[in-house]
Amino acid sequence: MSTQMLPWILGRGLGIAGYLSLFGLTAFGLWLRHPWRIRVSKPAPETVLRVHAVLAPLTLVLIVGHVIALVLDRYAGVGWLGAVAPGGSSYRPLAVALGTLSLYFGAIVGATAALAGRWGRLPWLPVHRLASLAFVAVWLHGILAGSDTKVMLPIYIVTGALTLAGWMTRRLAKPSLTPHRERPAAADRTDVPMLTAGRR
Amino acid sequence: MTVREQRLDDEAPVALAIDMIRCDGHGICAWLFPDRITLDRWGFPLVDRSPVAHEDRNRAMRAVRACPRAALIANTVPAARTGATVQP
Repeated sequence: MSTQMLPWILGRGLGIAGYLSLFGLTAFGLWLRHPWRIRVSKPAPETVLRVHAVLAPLTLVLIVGHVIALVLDRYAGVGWLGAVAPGGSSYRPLAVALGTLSLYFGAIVGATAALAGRWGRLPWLPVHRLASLAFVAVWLHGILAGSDTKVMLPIYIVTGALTLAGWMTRRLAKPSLTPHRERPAAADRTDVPMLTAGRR
Repeated sequence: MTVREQRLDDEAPVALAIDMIRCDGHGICAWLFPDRITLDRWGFPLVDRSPVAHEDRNRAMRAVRACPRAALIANTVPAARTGATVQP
């Protein structure tokens, strides 16, 4: 293997790893509030939450590595402009633009969640819904931009179908499946009475 | 005006409570303040309602602000219950 090939191989490897990490991140995120989770005790909700939160920075690192490796590859035709400006790539501009946009979406989604509650009531949840858009953009980016799409196609189809199924079943399942409205008192451990908050 | 919309005194001791009708089980409260908030097997919060220690107050208030449904509530606690002195 020549050293000239190294950025290309790194870029492809990190891109695939980043996609699989994003798939895990999305899947765990969907499962967090999926109505079917009440039928399954494992993994525990806290574990799902932790895995979801850990996969987010991991995905970011892998994707940033993917971008840097391909920018440093002189033969890839992406360059810094193509990496940061949608449409600025000479190699498959639309496909690369989808990747750039998804990186921006992902960064916004991750940053608002990471900063939730730090400065007032930041509306992180509506922003979090951009994650669906980011996943679709990444999926299309992988299929349209990858030079080895034929080899990867089964993985894209399976992960895409699983994500779509998770997203649709979560939206279509009835809210009445959530159990908490039947047990409003179960959440409290001690008997501190409800008090009115003091005003300034 | 609900309790959630009122401003709490910055130094007042607080205790957390959860409005289970509003709660949708997003779980971010348990992520931000795991010492006092855990999740049940369905992913809904179990809140320790005893007064929050002064050094944990900022983390508690961050969890309150982060709740997308405004279901986590911080109530002021009379100083007599915590043994602390509250500035008027």
